[in-house]
Amino acid sequence: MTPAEIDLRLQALLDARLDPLDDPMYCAHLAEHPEQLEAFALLRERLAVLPLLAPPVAEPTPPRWRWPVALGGLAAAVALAVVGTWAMLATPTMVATSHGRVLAASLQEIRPTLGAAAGARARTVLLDRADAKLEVFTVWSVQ
Amino acid sequence: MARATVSERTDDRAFVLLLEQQRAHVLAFLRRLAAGDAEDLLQETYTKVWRLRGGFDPAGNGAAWLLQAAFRTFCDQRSRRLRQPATRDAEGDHPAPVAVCRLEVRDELAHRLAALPPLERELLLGFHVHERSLRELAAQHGLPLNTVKSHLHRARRQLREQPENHE
Repeated sequence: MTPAEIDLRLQALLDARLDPLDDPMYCAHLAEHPEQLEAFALLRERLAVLPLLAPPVAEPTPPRWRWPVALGGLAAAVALAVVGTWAMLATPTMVATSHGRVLAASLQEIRPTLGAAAGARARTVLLDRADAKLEVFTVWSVQ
Repeated sequence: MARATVSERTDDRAFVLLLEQQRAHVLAFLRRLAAGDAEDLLQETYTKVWRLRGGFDPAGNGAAWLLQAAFRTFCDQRSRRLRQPATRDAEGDHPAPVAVCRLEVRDELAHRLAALPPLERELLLGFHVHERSLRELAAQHGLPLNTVKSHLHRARRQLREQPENHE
């Protein structure tokens, strides 16, 4: 085979993702042409090393777990719960019931306790009269 | 008989000198083909060529002859291993091949990649690293398939060139 033909054969094998060493004709050619052995070995080695050099495909990085973010999440969840309850109780049909009405709500960050990453306390006032007051406190903490 | 004995000893000495001089060269060649087995393959090659030294032509290219012998030794070992049943690890899975890479090989390849035209580099990495097909690369770059092949083949030819500081 001419040099051009053997190069075409090599390229075709690589294009087909075949190992040239599995091709008897190519192996026989190399064995008979030692002047081409080193170049082939170089190519083989470099193709094997190529993946180690290429930058990896970017993968989405997982969000870092920070307590302010956790606290914000908790606050949002509490706010949604409070607003949702408020909205539900504010409907005309619900006013007539005895479920009560959210009169006030607040969210307070509590000092993280030992072992907890974040903590929050939600205060919901359901009843506030001269003779009675009903407040609900919910505490969350994230380990 | 004495004359032949002296001639044989002289030839043996010359042959041993050839083996010593080419040892690093043959070992480097075998490392490119089979990094972890290079030393064993070298020993096997030298054992074979020592037995066959009678057929060696001192006027010929000794280095090329040794490389041929090393290549045949490597191919024989490779054939033997392919015929053996695949080994499995303790969990019953086929162990993943270990990529062995010398620092100088990585550095030299990084330098060579940087010297490639950007398109050839992208096609080379796209095909051999990210395992995109030739048609996908052609579509990605808006090029005919044959043009992609030409660029890719040219890039591969660059990878066959000797390092700048090779011995």
